[in-house]
Amino acid sequence: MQFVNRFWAVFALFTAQLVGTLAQGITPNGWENTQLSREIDLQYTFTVDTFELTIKNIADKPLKQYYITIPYELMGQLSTLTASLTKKEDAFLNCYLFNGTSTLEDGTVLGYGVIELPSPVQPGREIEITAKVFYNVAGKPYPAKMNLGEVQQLYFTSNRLPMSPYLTVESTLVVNTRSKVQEDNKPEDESLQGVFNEDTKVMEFGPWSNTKPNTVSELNLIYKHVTALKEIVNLQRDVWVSNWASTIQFEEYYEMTNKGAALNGGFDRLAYMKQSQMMQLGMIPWIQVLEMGLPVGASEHFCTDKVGMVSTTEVIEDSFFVRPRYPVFGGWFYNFTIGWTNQLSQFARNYPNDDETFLLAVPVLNGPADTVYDHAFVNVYLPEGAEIMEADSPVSYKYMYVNNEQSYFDMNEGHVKLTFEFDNLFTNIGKADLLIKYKYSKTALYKKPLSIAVYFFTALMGFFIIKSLNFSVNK
Amino acid sequence: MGYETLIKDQLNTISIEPVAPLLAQRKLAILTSLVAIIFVTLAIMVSYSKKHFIYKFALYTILSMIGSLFLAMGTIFTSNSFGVYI
Repeated sequence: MQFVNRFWAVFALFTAQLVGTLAQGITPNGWENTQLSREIDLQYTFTVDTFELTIKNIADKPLKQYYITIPYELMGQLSTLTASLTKKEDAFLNCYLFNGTSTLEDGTVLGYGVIELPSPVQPGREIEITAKVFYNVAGKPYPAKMNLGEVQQLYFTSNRLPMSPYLTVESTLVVNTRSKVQEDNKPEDESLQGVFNEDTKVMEFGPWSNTKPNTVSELNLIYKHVTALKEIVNLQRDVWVSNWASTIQFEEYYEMTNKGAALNGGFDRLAYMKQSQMMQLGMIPWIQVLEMGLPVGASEHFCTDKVGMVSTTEVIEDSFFVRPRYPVFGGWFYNFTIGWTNQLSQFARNYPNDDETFLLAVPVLNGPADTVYDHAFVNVYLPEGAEIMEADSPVSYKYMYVNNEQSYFDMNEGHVKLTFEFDNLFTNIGKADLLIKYKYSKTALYKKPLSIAVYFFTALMGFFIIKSLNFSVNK
Repeated sequence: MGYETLIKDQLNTISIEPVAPLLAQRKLAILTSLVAIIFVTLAIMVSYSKKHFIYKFALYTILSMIGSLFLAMGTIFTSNSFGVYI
């Protein structure tokens, strides 16, 4: 996914912030969508909604903000909103969610994302922007239950015509599922119906002209999705930094489920064994093996679950393959813990002329591909005595807080624990790094052995004192 | 914008040097533990000697302090050698 690599190289400079500052109930106006090309990508466990826009300022004053509609029912599954100038893909724009909603006459509730343009656009001028909205959700299994050997299908609902607060002069829609798509509840108007392109394997709609603002037109699609829909309900990711050992240890606890179709009836081992060929191709709707993409040079891998050590694991280069104790079918859950160790020098660096100040860069996630995360806690444990100077995330987080936690041979306040709490992540978003600037002075470094030495010294002096006391009773 | 500043800082940072190489910490653990045993043994021998109390106390304190320091370093290196990173 080339757009993802380029995307993450500079995305960190422009964080999507989930805070709006405008009044509620606003009805955006002032723009006209000269051209709107929308692509819905349904290949993955998450949904990517891409808008290529040519917008024109039809107001009588310069405008700097553009509103993009987000269905209210999807606001809770919104992962990220990003935008860039179409002609300069690396020129990312500041985006945030509008803190309010609008309600249409038919009762439809709409939310908005706001895109801040780099400079105000003068009346009558046009600008081209590309916006992407990532949702932590895909289609729903259709039917909800299926037998082993059947092909899993998903049902996806969206808006057909451009749901924009502005008039759209010309628009098209493309739906990409990597498989054959069919429409459910097709409208009678043929101009609204989609055409499946056998060569590109996409369903194409439009073009449509002069679509009024906030036009509601439901689109229902049924498509095949042969692989599992991996969902991490909760992730607890602990990162332990040790300057004495020059290591960084990762430990992740996953509460995982499969959002795909559930089994119809009980588990049939014979039917399961018959699927061995499809298992080898990976075209199965249950979770058989997880491939964790770990940092280069990872060592000391382990995997445990509620029962104990999981031996069905394998390390191949930088991938850690974990085979759960049982195949995880639709609706089933599996909880497990994995861990590994890397050299600290891969993730931490010093500031020039200051060997007591460190900059730590830790990936947000290291989990399996094509996976969504409902809730994730990333805890970074810095050595006892470290002082956090600055910390930030490339991805909008729910909370960030600092406290202390005692660990082995912590004789004073304990390790410094920095916690980021995230909602609605997906695998690709985790490639970016959390950045933490902290100070770990030589005094704090050598305080560790001194603290331990105090206990040994106390014991030895205690021995001397007891040795010196004379408890004998002499006549 | 904090993240932007940190990203720019990242371009100007330099590699860190380990306090003690991890692979060498096993040998360091053995070495420091041996030195610690020597000093603690000497301290215990002083405590059993028939010298004046003040002299014994002073010498014992010095030997115990040095022994404790080496014991502490040995503890850290031993712990790191067994994968419990301090």
